[in-house]
Amino acid sequence: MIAKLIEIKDKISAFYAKAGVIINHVLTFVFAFLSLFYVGKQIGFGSVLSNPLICFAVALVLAFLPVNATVVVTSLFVIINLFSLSIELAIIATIILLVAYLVYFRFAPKTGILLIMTPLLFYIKMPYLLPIVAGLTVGLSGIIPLICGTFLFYVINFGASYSNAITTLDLDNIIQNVTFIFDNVIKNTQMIIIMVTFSVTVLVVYLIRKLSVKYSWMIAIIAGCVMDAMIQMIAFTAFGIEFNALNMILGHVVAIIAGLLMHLFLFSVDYSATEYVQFEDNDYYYYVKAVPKMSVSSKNVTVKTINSRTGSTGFVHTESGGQINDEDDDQFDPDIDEMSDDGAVSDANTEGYDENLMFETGEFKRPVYTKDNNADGGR
Amino acid sequence: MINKTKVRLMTRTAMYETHSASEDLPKAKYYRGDYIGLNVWITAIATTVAYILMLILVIAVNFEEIIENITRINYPVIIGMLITVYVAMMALSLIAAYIVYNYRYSKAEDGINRYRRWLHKIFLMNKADRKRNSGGGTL
Repeated sequence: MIAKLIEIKDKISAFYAKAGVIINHVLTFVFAFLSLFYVGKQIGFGSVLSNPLICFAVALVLAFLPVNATVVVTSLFVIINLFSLSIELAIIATIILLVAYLVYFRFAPKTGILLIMTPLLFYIKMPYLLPIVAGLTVGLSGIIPLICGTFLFYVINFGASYSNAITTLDLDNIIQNVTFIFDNVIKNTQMIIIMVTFSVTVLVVYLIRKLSVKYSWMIAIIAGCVMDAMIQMIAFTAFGIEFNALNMILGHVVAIIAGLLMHLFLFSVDYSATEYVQFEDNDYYYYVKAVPKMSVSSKNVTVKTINSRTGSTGFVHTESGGQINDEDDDQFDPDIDEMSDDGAVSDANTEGYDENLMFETGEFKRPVYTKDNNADGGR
Repeated sequence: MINKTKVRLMTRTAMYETHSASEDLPKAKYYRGDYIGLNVWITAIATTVAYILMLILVIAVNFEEIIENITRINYPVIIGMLITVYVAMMALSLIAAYIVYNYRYSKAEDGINRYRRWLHKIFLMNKADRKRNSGGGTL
């Protein structure tokens, strides 16, 4: 069973090595479309932005942009949809998101994806996977995005559940509206409990994962989920919040299984995609395709071919997968910095090469090697 | 005839340029002190703006209570508390900014130094090729 899983893992990484660029774009598109569609479905209420075609078109554009663009656009979608619902709610959400960006996301922009994944996973009833994923991947820097994402979910949920109550608020009494929204969103005890339990779970998962013990990642996932369930049950009971214990336990069991599968197929594999680069020198233009090396373990198959014309002299042909061997491996030093200069030229003889780069002068210039052997700065 | 070693080196260099150089090279235009100082200043401004926004939110939520007790509020204590919170927030942000940007600059510096070494080796290989060609020898 384990060997089969490892074989599947190897095949997935080999497939990613071939088609990694396309896979990345497709995954970004799916993530963007689901995020925008979820926001439109919850708080769109028939606005233009909630139209699935608009979401599809925007997601198509976002597929070719960095993932943080999806985070920014989804946040804008949320705020614009909230403006049509309640100006006060939109302003509160904008201020909280702006504060989060100014204070935190400037330092850790790559964790922004957790901000949007949180409401999505809450929506598909798998929120308990979030602290596990955050603890295994980004570590402690995942706490703030999880807290902000949980807040975003509860704002969207509040907007969806109380849309009638919010739209009929007296527009002249802004302070009362803000107090009403604040009492139902910011002072939501359930939200605060979930924020605290997620933070503790991320910390526990991260600390256990860092231990130098065998299967520390497995222990981290299971311990994290168990602790998350226990803290939530105790806190909800203490504060008198109703919850379904069976659903909670089932949710955490699913989170454990999903976390173990994710670690096996995603986090423990070095996914490297094929790279396409081009460059030139004095003599050639080079168009290079760099394919990452990997071994795919597969069955050793023996095929016997019998040539009927020549009689029964069989020809045995064995096919098996295995390590791809580079015939020039002996000449290639794995540590590229230790490679020889491939010529009788000493380091001292660097006429025409500007050694004063970067940190000495504060300006970096990349030399261009022309036929005239002039190292012109820049390109 | 194509020099395979040089092609491998140029490929690695091009891959670095595609992925990491866009982040590392802008940092390389600054001295370490200038880079950290600039980002610490930006962080200070961002923290101040964030503090003002949070203050507006807190005032908006407690506005009725503030108006009712406007004559009874102990203003020196409140102002002292606000200043203390601001100073504490600023201190934490600036320390975090210093650590984060110092680390980022060091990481970029490692990448750029490696990049320089590769470019230097390519330069030396080209020089050796030209010498061989001008000397009439075959590769």
